[in-house]
Amino acid sequence: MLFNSYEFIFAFLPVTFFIYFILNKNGFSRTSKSFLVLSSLFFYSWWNILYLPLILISMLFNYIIGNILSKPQTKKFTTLSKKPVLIFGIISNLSLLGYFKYSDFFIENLNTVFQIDVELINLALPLAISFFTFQQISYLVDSYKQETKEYDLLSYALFVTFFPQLIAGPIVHHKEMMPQFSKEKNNRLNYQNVAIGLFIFSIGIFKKVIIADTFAIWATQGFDVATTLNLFEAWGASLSYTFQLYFDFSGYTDMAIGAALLFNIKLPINFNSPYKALSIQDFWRRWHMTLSRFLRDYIYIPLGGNRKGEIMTYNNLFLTFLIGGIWHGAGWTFIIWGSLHGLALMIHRIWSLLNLKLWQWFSWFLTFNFINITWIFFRAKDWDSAIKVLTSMFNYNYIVLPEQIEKYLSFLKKYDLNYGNFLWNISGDHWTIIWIFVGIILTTGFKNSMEKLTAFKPTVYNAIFTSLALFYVFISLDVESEFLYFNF
Amino acid sequence: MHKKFIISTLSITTGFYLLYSYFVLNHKMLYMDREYPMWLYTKNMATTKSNKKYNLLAVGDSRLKAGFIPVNNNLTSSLNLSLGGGTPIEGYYTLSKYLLNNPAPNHLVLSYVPGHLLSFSNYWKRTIPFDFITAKEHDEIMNRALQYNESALLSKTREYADYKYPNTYASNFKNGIVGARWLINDSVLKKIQLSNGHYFFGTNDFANGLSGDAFRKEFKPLPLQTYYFIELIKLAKKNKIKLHFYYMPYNQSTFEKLAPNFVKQFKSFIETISKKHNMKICNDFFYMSNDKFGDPSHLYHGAKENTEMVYQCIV
Repeated sequence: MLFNSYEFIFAFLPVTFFIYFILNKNGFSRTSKSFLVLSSLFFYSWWNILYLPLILISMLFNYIIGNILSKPQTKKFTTLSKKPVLIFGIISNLSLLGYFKYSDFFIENLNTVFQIDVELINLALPLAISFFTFQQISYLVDSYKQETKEYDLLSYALFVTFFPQLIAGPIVHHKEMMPQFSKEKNNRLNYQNVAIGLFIFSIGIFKKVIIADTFAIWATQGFDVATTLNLFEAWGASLSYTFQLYFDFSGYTDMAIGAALLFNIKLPINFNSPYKALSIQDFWRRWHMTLSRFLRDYIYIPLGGNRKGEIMTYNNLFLTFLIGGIWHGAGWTFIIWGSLHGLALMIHRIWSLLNLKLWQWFSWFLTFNFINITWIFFRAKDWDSAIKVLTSMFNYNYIVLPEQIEKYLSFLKKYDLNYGNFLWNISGDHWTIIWIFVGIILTTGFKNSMEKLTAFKPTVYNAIFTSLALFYVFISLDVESEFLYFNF
Repeated sequence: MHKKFIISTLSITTGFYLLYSYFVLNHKMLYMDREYPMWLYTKNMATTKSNKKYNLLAVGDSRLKAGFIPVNNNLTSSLNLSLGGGTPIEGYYTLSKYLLNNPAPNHLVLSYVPGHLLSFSNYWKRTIPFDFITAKEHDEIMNRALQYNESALLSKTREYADYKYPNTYASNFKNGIVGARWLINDSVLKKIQLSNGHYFFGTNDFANGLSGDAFRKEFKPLPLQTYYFIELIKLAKKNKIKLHFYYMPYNQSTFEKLAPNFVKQFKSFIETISKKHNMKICNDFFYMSNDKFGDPSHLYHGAKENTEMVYQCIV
């Protein structure tokens, strides 16, 4: 069930909301929690009920392992004797993820390297597997470090399955979720949270349905359909994807935060105007922040972080982002994308150590373009598509200018510049240019939705804005489109 | 304060939605494309009671709509009820409703480009969204489609009921509001009313592009379109209307690209029906020079000349 679907907005969400609070009001707080878990599992099963056993088994397995690990140390049961249990837990989780996500990639590469013909398994990727696996690995590690309490199964189940964050994050941490689930105050309907939830949900769905899905048309044409692209089409396609991804994913996160707030649960912030970033390090502090937190706490720091000398720091940075790339998908394009970001972070570290400075506008320009270009590898379905877009962006021999300006700039023809429908191959027109400018302005010149959430006041202006956004979205829901991060 | 915010937000949203629903379902002139007023005119002329008897009624597709300019004077009167993208299905319902509400004309001129007997592409784009036919008529059509196993119409992605649902019109509505279509539609309707149903589509001085038939290799009419074409003829005959089929001209560029086999098959189809149902064929396949066309399919400068040829046919 998608957040941007009729069944979610008009059936699932209101029904779950009302039953949950009716149960709580009548003193059935434990039943209400069970109901929320069941609703979340129903929400998950809506896509494919066949994967329901998978999430249930994963949840139970990690709960048992986590409980073993979190038991107080005794003479018999020391940290040392717990380590194999932790390793077993992590390997089991990674094996599950690896089997579903990376088997075919592994076989394909094996076939290429050894010139053999092993048949692909062709498994469909179970929804949310990357997210709930990471979430539970962090739980196991913290249990091992004695940083978790002995949670009851119901709370743990809610931590894993709570529907607003289940499918595509934010990747929540047990420390920030479990106390909220057990807080008595959160069982009561809170109008302030409902108002803010509604407000932020409307912003999120507007971002997705109106903005991201508009950019999607040009990005899809440019990356997947067009066989050739002129310089403007290539830039149009890459920038469209850059904005599509941000508005899609941050829109999803806003909806998740909004939906969770209806139940008095505060999910962590996941985006903080990433395209305002002035360096690659700054970008990763603003983009998919809960993933960055996971990578830092459970990969970079355990690898040694910056504690083992300068060379090892570079190594750890690179490895962390390489793993980040692989986490996003089984493909060489993701590996390249992760590696490029790892390299950029290494260069940024050297740059910082040398204490070199750049003009602020130039830092932004450089960072934004680096991100825009690396998203090409992230988006392209294969290497050839990535190279098609990338080379076209710098192919100065194939430039088509808008026919509307031909009469003013006809002298440019002698430089082999053509006039015509300059965005034809990406199904674009002058609106594409306008939307790209709107994208730049919205992402760099305005407060983001989290800043708006913090400053929210129940004013008439906000009520009208929310109503208009919701209205516009409701009439645009006719075509359902999935969120990009559902693929990861 | 927050409770008030929630209630007012939900109320305003509901209010907007109800208002939107009312307008999209009841005032399609506000936002549909410019084909809508043309179809609306034909529908209104067919369903409004009148005692005016026309000498000539033209029923066909957009080529006839653009290429036949009805003349109304002391000697003759004519009406053009052709439809852009119209097929024999719409033609049949136009004539049947027209005859229920108006005196039968003396002559009926029919003209369809072969392509319009090969698909139902406009049925879900215009016929249903423009409310051109009733639910009962739609059921009749679908029953016939079942009878003929007309998969092209039966394998639809939408139902008739979907078009009674406001969100179906959302993208039309958005485009209509952004493009201020109500102004365009109002002017189109006025033009059509003044010209007894005639409308120019393309208005360029020259059109050397190719229309769809240039790319077709063979003519295999859909059984359901054939059925309605024959029903249309039978209906005219039953009402003692003199029947004429007129081949509209192609522009020269298209004509030169027409596949001989395609032309032969279409002509044979028309001739067979003509013989069986006593329908006069006015002319042969022909072309006019590209400068008579306003776009690759529709006459502009050549419309008057073509109109004269239509009149010569009924004399």
